[in-house]
Amino acid sequence: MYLSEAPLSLDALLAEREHPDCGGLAIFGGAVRDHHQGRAVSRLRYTAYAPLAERRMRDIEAIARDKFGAPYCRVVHRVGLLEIGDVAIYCVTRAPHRAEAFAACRWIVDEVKHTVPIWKEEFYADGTSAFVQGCCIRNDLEHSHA
Amino acid sequence: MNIRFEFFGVMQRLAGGAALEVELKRSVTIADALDELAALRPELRLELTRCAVASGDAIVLRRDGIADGSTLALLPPVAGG
Repeated sequence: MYLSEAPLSLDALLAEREHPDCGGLAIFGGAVRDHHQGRAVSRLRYTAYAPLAERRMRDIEAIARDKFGAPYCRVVHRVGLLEIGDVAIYCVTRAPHRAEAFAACRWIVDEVKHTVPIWKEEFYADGTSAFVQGCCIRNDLEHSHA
Repeated sequence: MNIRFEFFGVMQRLAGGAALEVELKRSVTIADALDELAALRPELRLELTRCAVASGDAIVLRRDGIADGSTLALLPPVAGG
């Protein structure tokens, strides 16, 4: 499971016990905050293009395992309407030592933010809303048609 | 040929809906299809330049060919996390 309409469960991600050689366990959680660029935010809605999002998240985990030598890498992201303080993303990594666990965790979260087709719509205290400006994931900009 | 465009993120707001089925007259490539879409819906043209296009679980390129009955997902800049 990579995308979830229901609140994310950290316990499920921590249940893994199959890597007794891993002494480093890193956890990152990203929660909804109540402001963005000076505006008061009252809630968020995350949406995703699930077929590609789930494939990308699976690929990101696999790359991280290899790149950082962290045998256990998991990342999950919430979709739907979230309130302030709700957790939008959890990443859990296990590696032999903390340096690899931290590095893998940070890299995975950055990759998800920058490359996975998920969108964040912010609802402001004044009743308006806007999509957060994000990262373009086109990979054919040298052929800049349309 | 008939193509179904699916809109995500800000594209959904600009298009006023989640999907649009269009009969294209002269499209051979993805780029052609986007040009025809932009001609039909000029309000989408600017954001289309920032969209990746996906078919199923893969990104397709502007130069790739297009087949009758395809569904193309239009993915504007992403902002998860």
